[in-house]
Amino acid sequence: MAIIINLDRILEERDMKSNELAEMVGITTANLSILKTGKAKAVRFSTLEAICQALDCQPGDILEYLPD
Amino acid sequence: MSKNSLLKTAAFLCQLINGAFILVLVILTIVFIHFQVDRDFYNGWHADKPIKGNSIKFQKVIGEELSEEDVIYMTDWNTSSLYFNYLRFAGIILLMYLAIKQFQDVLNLETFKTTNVQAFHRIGIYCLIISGLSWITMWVFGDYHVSGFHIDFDFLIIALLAFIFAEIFKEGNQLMEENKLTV
Repeated sequence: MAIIINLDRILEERDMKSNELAEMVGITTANLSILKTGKAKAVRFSTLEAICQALDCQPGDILEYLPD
Repeated sequence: MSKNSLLKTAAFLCQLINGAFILVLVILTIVFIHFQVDRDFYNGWHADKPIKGNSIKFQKVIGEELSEEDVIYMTDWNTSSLYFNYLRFAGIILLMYLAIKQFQDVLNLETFKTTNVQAFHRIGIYCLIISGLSWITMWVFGDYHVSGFHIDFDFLIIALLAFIFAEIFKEGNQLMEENKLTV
C-alpha cells in the first residue's frame, strides 16, 4: 500500500503502549491494530485529530506516502 | 438483520411452501412408480389433449360419455414421454425447493453478508435451469404426439432479478466492509 502508517515508530519514541493510545483516542485496540497494520480503508478526521493530540504530533508524522 | 414480523412471516411461508414441494415430489414419485407397476389402475383417467407448451391435468369422470377426439388416456402414455415429464417436473420442483431454501437462508442471516450474495447467485442459476426445463414439452399418448419448444419468460425475469439482487448485496457488502475498516 502506498500510504504507510508510522504509529509504531511514534509510539516507541513516546514510550507509549497501543492500549494506552487507544484509550486516550477513544477507539478499540482492535481498531488501532487495523490502523497500525495498514488494513484500514479510511481514517476519520476526528480519529486523526485525537491521535495527533494524544501523541503531540502532526498528521504527516503518522502518515507517509510511498510511491509503488 | 433485526427480525421483524414481516421477515418471520416470510420465513414461515418459505418453510410451508418447501414442505408442500416435498409433499408434491413424494406424491409425484409414488404415482410415477405405481403407474409403471399397475397401469390398469389408471383406466379411465383422462385429460384434454395438451396444447404445445401447456401442462395437462388428469382426472377421472364417472358416468359421462367422452368424445375420443378431445381426450387422451393416461394408460396410453408413452414410456419415454412419461420418464421425460417425470424428470422434468421433479427437476423443476427440486430446483424451486432449493431456490426457496436459499431465500430462507437470506432471511435468516445478516444483511449484506457474502453468503447472501452467493445465495442470490444460486437462486438465479436455479431459476435459469427451471426456465430451461420449462421450455421443452414432450407429450406422447399412443398416436397423439405434441412436442415443442416455447420460451417462458417468468423464471428468466426472476433469475435476472436474483442476479441484480446479488450485485446490490455485493455492493452493500463492500460498503459494509469499508465501514468496518474505517478507524
